[in-house]
Amino acid sequence: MLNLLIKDISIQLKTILFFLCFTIGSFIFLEVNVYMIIPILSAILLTVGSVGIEEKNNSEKLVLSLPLKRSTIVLSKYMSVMIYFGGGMLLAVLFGSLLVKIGIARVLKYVSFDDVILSLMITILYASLYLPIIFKLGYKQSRLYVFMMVMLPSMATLIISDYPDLTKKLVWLSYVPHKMLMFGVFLFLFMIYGISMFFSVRFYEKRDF
Amino acid sequence: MTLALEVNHVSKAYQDFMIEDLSFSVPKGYIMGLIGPNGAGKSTTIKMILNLVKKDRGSIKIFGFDHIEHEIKVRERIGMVFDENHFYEDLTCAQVKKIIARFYKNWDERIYHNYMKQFQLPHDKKVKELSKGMKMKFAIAMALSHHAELIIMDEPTAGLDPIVRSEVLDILQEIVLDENKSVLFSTHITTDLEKIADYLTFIHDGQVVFSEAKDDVLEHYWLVKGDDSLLDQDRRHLFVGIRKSDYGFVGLTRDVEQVRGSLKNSVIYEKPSLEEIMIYTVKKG
Repeated sequence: MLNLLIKDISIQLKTILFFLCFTIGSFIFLEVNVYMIIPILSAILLTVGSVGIEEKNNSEKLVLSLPLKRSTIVLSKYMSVMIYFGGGMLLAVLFGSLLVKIGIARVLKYVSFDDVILSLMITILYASLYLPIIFKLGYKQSRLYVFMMVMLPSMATLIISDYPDLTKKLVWLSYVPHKMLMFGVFLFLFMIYGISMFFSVRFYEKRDF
Repeated sequence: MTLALEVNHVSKAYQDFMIEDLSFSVPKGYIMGLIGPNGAGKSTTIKMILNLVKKDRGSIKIFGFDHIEHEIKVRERIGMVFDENHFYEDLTCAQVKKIIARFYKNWDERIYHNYMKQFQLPHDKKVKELSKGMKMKFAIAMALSHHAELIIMDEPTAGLDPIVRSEVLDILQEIVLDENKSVLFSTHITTDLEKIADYLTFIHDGQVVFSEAKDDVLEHYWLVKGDDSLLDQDRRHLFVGIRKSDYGFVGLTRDVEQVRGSLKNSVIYEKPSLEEIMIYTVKKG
């Protein structure tokens, strides 16, 4: 599995370099919470990107002819999501702290616990949804679905705003202790991640190339 | 005879195409040529061997092991060369090698460097900057550097110029000098196989027409040339395929004795090339 991770990183060195510049640029020029955006983007774009590079080079056949099980290939992608997230977060924290200290960051803010937790939640949710689609359909055919998923949060916000009662109905959540709520949400998300992994393995094992 | 590969009664159905009850085997230390026209099922067969395409029925054994049950063990011993480049185009040969070598327990740097030197391949050139012939040689070097015992090649000579093609064929012959190594080589360029194959499996419309030693194939088939008037309905059945022209008919037969019994010396008997065997079998007539 480690070899697959090394392979994915090796074929994306240019993208990683771009991300490095993008992170610095975002801190200097954008008035957004970079600590959330960079880890999410690196997790999603690098995972999807590695699949895209495989497809562009027609290398999937090559990888599938290596002494590997298909399930290992799938699980390594799920693991790489976490590694890219961690790498993105580390990058954001390092550059963020430095640029805020120097005083050239647009938003003078250090990373918070909530930034890490929220971005991790969003990453897990996205990856759980798009990875099975990619493993079922391949990169080219799944691009539309991945794009639709990027639009999902704004669509969800619109739908929720149409139902003001919904937020009232969820008020009880504020009475649940914060730690317990976090634990519950994470448990739920990791369950989804596990289910997603299960379906991805099944889809990929059945696919013909 | 020890077998490197056994394909037994394998079937695969698609909506518009079917591979039916496919059986053949590759003895250890020999080159097996998989021939057939485009769309005959050669690539699908190779993909099924590699489990890139799931077979519906049958069994495939590599070195006596089931190709799915012992997938990893079996793949350590296989070297794969595809018809087109599947390496990362933007990386150099050295970078690609570094990525791939990690996956094989038996990767041998010495062998890799020897092949790179023998094939005159540059380590620091990007894959996309290599010519088609160089890409093919690089793929062969990669396939041979982990002590693979079964080399599977899907149309490796397609699109190559005659000089590079001849070089690739020489390399294949060199490979099987080591009697532990076997080659399965699919192609529709039959002249390549006439030069190097020990055994032939001819696939047409997803079915095996024959699978036997090349010398036996060339011995059993005969071309028969004669006047049209000699061809009646009964005699037509003696031929695998018949072509007619203004000068008479040319038929391919696998049972020359029966033809001799029927037509005696009123026709001309000639040995066919593999290409003619393929054409007459496919076209029938």
